[in-house]
Amino acid sequence: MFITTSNNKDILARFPNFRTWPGPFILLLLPDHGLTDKEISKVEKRFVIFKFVTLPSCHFSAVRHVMIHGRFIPDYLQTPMLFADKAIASSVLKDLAAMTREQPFAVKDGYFSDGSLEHLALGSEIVKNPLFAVFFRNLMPDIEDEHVEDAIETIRHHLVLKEIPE
Amino acid sequence: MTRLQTLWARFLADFSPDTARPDYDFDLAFYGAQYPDLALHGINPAHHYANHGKAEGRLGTLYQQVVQNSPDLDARIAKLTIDPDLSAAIAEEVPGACELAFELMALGSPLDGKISDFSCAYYLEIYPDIAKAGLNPLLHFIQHGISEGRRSLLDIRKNEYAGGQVFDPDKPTCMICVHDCSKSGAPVVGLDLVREAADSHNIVVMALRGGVLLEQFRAAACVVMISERPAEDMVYFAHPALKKIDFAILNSVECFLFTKALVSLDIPFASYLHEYTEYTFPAYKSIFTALFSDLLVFSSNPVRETWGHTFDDLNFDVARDSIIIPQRSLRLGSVPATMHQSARARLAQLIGRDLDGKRVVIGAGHVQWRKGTDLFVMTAQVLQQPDPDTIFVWIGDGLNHEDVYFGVWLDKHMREAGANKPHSNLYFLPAGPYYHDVCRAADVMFLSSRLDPLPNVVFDAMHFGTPVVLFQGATGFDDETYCDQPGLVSVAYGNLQAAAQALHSVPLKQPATPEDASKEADKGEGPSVFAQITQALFDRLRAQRHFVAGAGEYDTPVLFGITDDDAQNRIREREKMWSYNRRLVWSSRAAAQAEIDASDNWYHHGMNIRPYSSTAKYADLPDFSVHIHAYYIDDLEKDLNNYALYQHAKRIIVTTDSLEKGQEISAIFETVGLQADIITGSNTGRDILPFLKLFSEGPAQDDPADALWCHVHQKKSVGTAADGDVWRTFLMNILLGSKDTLSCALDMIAAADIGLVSPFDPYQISWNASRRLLDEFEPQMPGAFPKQPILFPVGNMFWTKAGVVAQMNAFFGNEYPWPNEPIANDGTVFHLIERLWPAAAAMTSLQAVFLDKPDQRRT
Repeated sequence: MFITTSNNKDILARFPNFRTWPGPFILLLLPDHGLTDKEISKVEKRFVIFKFVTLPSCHFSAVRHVMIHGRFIPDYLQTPMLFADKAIASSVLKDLAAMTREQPFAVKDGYFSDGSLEHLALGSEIVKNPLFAVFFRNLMPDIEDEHVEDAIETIRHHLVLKEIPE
Repeated sequence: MTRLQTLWARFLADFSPDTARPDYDFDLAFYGAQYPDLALHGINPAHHYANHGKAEGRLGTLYQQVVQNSPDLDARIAKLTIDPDLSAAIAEEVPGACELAFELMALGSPLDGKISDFSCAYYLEIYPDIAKAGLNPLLHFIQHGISEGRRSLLDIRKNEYAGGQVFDPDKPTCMICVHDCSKSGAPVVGLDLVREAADSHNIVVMALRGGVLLEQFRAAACVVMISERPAEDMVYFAHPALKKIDFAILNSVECFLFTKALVSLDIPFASYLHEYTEYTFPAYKSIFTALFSDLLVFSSNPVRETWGHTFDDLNFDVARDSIIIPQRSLRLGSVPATMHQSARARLAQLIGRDLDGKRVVIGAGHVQWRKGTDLFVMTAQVLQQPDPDTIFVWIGDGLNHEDVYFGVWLDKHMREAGANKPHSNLYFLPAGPYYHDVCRAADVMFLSSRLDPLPNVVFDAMHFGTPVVLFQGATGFDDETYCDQPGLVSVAYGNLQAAAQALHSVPLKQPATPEDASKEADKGEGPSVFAQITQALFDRLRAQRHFVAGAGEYDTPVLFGITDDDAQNRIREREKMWSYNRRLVWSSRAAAQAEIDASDNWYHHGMNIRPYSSTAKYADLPDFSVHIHAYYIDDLEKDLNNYALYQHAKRIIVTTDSLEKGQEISAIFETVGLQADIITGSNTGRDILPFLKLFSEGPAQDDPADALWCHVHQKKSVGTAADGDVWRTFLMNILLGSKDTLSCALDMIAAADIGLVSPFDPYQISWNASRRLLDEFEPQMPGAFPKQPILFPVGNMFWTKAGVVAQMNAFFGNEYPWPNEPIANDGTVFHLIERLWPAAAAMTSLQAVFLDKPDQRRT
């Protein structure tokens, strides 16, 4: 599952580099998206759209909304997940794809300088865990940027299978 | 740790993790409040209690205090407790068990409802007087409420009936909702759904009311719950299946009350609809059903077609979000010879009439207008002379010669027709166990219904080889699924001669041969209706590629209340309707303006939305007049004092409907130091006809076209007075301003290019029932009316110019036959006028401006 925001300018590209990411493509259309109706019609063919009529408290809150209300989207929570708030270089994307493929419990997050979530990659075994959706259901709807890192740490703590020390 | 301490710790961990209290038999907060002197002296209350207080007999918990004066407290606690471990400890008389149960209950929701039949939250919700008085709800219930007969969760949970099927957590769970469990149309269909689903799904049945089919519902379901307040009560039912509901099916529009719970719990649902909108009132039943269902399933297309106006109003996508699934197949069956003979003999005995060589015409159903029982009687009369060998038999309840709406008149007609007399051709039987034999014995059924979706009696009759004569346009059997079925004979709507002819032409029933029986057995059934609905619902859910999230600019309620507790639910209801692109609340002013801008319909030319503002400057105001229609006058004085604008009006005209009210109004104006012309007239045309008449035959008839007028009224919404008052204040504040300010509406209407100024309403109100009148007025318009008016002066208060009013009067002319009171709640010409103001402005080449004031509460 690939989730991105309208800040990602690659969404209008004819052959975007993220097209190889497995699972559904989801676009978080933020209130200040600046896209024309024609452009929206174009991206609608590729993306399932979540249009935010009010700015979410942070991008992670928007992801939460997808996790709760997108549960009937085909292949929902069946593949590794990548959230990205900007265009991602092909090489980075390739590395993330390889990482989540090889490490089904991988968690990789990155942040902008203002502390907001830039990207989050999760391996398929984390996403497929039934508690993953529960985690988002229990997350505060209006979670702020400053708490996102802690929330992702909770994912690491509870949803990553750890080796049992000998 | 003792047994009771272990229970205490477990319940707190499970249901109240924030409660930092190690012991059930000592409450630090309670102790500190009881003995505040400890804190003053810096003494630790816990140490004090352990070392001194307990021994001194001081009270460590609320329970210890209450039990002193309530000798039967333990008995009451024991009766309320439902948790098996707690109940066992109480039954074994473990010391402290009742105190533990009480202290757990005192922690409130959700723990109290988990371990007992008492919930503080529920008690406060249904008894706001307790909340208002600041009383402890648990104490009040135990000490007073029980003896006063006040409700507890027991009153809800006693309506939870265990089902005959075991809940299997590995199966999907479906909630099937029916409005009642009576043996009538929709509940019978609901029972069929439950039976079809029982093998593959856990079925939770929820009904608004019980009925004779309850036991049959129980047999096929895991649990049956009955509540007339499902949204409020559902959380208190205890069955584990309730926590696992994957989807729901609402069987009938009468189940609209369930939508609130399902939206709140985010459970997807399909509504299986059998009802025509013509008789579904209030209209909000259809509106809420269409707004919030993920899929609408109709049992026939003729029924769906009557929902067309509702769909148009809500922008409901019929092709995408609705589907037809016939409730069952219709085939002309047969009856073996022996059964036919015995059935004829039984019917002959029931009506006391030899049926040899006779044609038996049956009618069936509750005796009423809708079923056309009177038409059945008249058709029997038509055939009385020409065909005395045709015998009419109606089977059904509802005959009541004291019912002034129908029974009295039918009874007279039956007597004149000689019903139930020896050698008559017309007989009435109450519903009874002989019903199937009546169907077997009949040669033909006459479905005299005026409007009847897919009555089960037709399926029954056809099953027993009885053809059916019915009116075209009266039933769902016009659907292509059914209309060509052998055995169905349609005649022109309401044409009794044609019906009589068709009945007369049906050959007498021939009993089945063994070959017929074999053919019947070979006809297999397709997928069940339940399976088809489920498949269609999930197909629809998976196909959704457009979701809307966020609160939007207007926190305006639809299903839910206005309290803070419901804030997330209100957002959720808007998100759901917007995700399906259905309309009832605007997401933003920009969205409304964008819809106007996108329209090329003449009605929307010059329509625009502007932000509200106000001014405290009263200099250089333009001349303007105010019309107040004062049918109700109790708020008039308050209004006159509350709005500075009245003091600056060149002229105020008040219309009312009696001289007495006129005198009172005159006195009110004198009290506030204002002058008004008071006109008394008949109570016709609500507030708006008196306003229009000012310009056609009253004091404003010579006003120049650019004369400015403000029209308001003292409307009261009976039954929704509180909401109505808020709405009226919303309208008045936007139009007039306040005690110290003037609304910008006055400045705007004074502009040369503006002809209408009214409040922008956060609700997207459409033509609604006025749609039925559009054809009558469309020829006078410059073009077709738009599918949506988008905006109009909802509430019928506005600023306008005399020229616009003249245009409105021109739509109707001088001789229009205005309807008199009482009139319908919607869909009258007066409701249409409300929607025609933008048309009148557009036709005078003036703009219609709508003022947006998002901070003004609308409901």
